[in-house]
Amino acid sequence: MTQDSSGSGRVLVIGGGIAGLTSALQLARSGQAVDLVERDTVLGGHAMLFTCKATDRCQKCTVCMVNDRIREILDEPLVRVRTGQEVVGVERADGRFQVRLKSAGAPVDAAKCIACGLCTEECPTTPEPSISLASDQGMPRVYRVSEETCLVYLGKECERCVAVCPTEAIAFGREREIAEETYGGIIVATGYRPFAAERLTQYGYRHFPDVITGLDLEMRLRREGRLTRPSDGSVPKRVAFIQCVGSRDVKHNRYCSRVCCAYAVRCANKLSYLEPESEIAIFYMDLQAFGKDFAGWRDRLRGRVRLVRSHPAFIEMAPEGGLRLAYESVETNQIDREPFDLIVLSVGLCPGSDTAGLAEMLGIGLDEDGFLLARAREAGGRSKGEGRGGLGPDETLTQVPGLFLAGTCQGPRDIAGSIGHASAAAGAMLHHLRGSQLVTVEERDDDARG
Amino acid sequence: MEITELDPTFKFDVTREPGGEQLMRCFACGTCTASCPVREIDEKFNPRRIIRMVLLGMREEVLSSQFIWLCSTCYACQERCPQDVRITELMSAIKNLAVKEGHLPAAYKMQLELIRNMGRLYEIDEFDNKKRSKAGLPELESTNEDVKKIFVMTGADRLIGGEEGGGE
Repeated sequence: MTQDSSGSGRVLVIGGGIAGLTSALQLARSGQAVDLVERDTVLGGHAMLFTCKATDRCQKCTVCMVNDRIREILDEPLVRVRTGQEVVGVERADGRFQVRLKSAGAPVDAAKCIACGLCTEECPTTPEPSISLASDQGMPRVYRVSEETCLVYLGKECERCVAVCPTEAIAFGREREIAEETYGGIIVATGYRPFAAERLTQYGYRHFPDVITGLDLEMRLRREGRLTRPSDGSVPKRVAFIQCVGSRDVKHNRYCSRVCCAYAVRCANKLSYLEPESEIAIFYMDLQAFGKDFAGWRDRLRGRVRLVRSHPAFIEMAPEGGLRLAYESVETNQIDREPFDLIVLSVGLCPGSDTAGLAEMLGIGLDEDGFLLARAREAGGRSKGEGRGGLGPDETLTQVPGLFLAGTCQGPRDIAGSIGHASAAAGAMLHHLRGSQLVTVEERDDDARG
Repeated sequence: MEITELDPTFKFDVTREPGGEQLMRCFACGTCTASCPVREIDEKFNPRRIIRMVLLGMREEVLSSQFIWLCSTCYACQERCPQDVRITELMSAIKNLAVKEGHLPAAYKMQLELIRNMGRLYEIDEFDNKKRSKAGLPELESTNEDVKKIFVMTGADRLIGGEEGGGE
C-alpha cells in the first residue's frame, strides 16, 4: 500500500511521547505517511526524563525503549517530524481533517541545526549561555534559546550566534507561523501531567527541599547516576517512598495511576543496589501489582527494602533538623515519627492541563476523571472485560470517525501499556483508512448473542 | 472473641446515622490515626481501629466503650482521609448510636441535666446577679423554661429520665 492509495493522504499524530512515537512508527511501517507533531523541541515526552532501573541486570522498566523509538522515527522516511509546533485548530469536512499548526517561532530552525555547539561557545551571557542544547539526551539534537537571559530578547545588540552558525539555522524575530494541512485521520497522543504534589500540603513538597516527587527522583537519577539530597548534596542514608500521593484519593484523583507501585519498587531496588548500606522504606496503602512478574517484587526486596502498610499522615521538620514522617503502623497500632534524609512522593498521572481545550477543538468528550473519552465508554460504564488500562481497539475509538486515542491521554498507563495502546490505535487507523469496519468488543458480543 | 458475638448489621446501623454514610469507604490506611492529636496522648483512641471494629460488627465493644467519647472534633483526620470517610462526622454518628442504645456516659448525662434545669452549665445565684446589677446588666433567672421545652421536643429529656427525673 502506498501512502495515498486510500485517497486520504497523510495521518497526523499529535504528541511525540512514547505513544505518539509508537503509533507513527506502526503506521509508517504499514506504508502510511505520517506527520508527527510535538510541541517541545525534542521528542520522547515524559518517558525521556526517566532513569534506567537496571542494577547488575535489566529490571524491565522499558525506559530505554523510548530512545530506540526516537532513533527509529528519525530514520523513518514516511514520518515527517514537526517539533516545536502545536495544533491550534481542527475542522472536519468530508471525512478529512483541516488542521492548523502553529510553530513556536523559535530562533533555531530544527531542520537546519546540526548541533555543532558553536553558538553556545560564542554566546556572551554568563554564567549559563543563553543558547544551548535543548536536552542532554533528547532527540532530535537541537539548540534552544532562553528568552529570559538572551540579550536579543532583553532588547540589546548581540546576534553573535547568528553570525557564527555554519548552517544559518538561527534567525531572531521569526513569525509564529500558522500552517494549514489536510489529514485523513488523527491519532491523539498528548500524554499526561504528573500530579501536583504541593496540593497535599501535609507533605510539604516545595517547602522541604528533601521532599521530592517520583518524577524528580527519576530525573536526578538519570542526570547524576546516583541519588543526592537537594538540600546539601549528600547521599541520603534513609529514604522513604510514600505511595498513592494524589491517586486513589477521592478528593484528588479517585483512580489508581497504575505506574507508581512499579516505579517506586524499581527505584527502591536501584537505590539499594547503588547504596547497599542505605535504609529504604516504602509506605503503601496496598501495592497494586499489575503484570505477571510484579508480585515477586515483595520477595526480591526482602531484607533490603522495608514495606510498611500505612499511609503517612504528614511530614514535619524535627527540632534537631531533618525530616520526620508521621505514620501509624497498621500491624502494631503504634504511631511513629520516623526520621528520614529524603522522602519521595510517588505521584500519579493526571490528565494534561490543556486536555479540556483539546477535547473541545477535536469535538470529543472527557471522561469523569478528565481524560479524553473513548467511544466504548461513552454510554457510561466501562467497556466489557477491560478497565482503563485496556489495550483493545475499543479504548482507542472516539465519537469522531478517523480520530483515535493513544496512550495516557485516555487514561493512566505505563510505558509498555502505552506502546500496546498506541499500536492498537495505529491498527484502528489503518482499518479506518482502508474503509474496513473494526468490530468492537461490544458489537462482537451483541452479534454472538444474536 | 467468637464470631457469633459479632453483629454484621452494626455497620449498616452506623451508615444510616447522619455522618456515618461514608464508613464503608475506609481501606484502613492509618492516615487518621497518625494525624490524630488525641491519639498522641491517649493510646486508647485510634480512629482507624474504631472503624475496623464497627466494620467487624463489634457493637457492644464500640458503643459501650469510653474511647469513642475522646474525639476532640479537630477535623485533622477528616481533612487528610484519602477516601473522604468524614471521620469526625462518623465519630458523632457512632456517639449518637451509643446514646440511642443507652450508653450515655455519666458526665454527659450530668451536663444535660444542668442545661435542662437551668438553661446553662453552671448555676446562677444571688452573687452572680448582684455583680450583674452593679455592672448595669439585668438579672438572670435561675431556671429556663424555654430550654426545658426544647428538651421535651428533641427527646433529650428522655435520655435523662424524663421531666424532673434524674439529677438527684
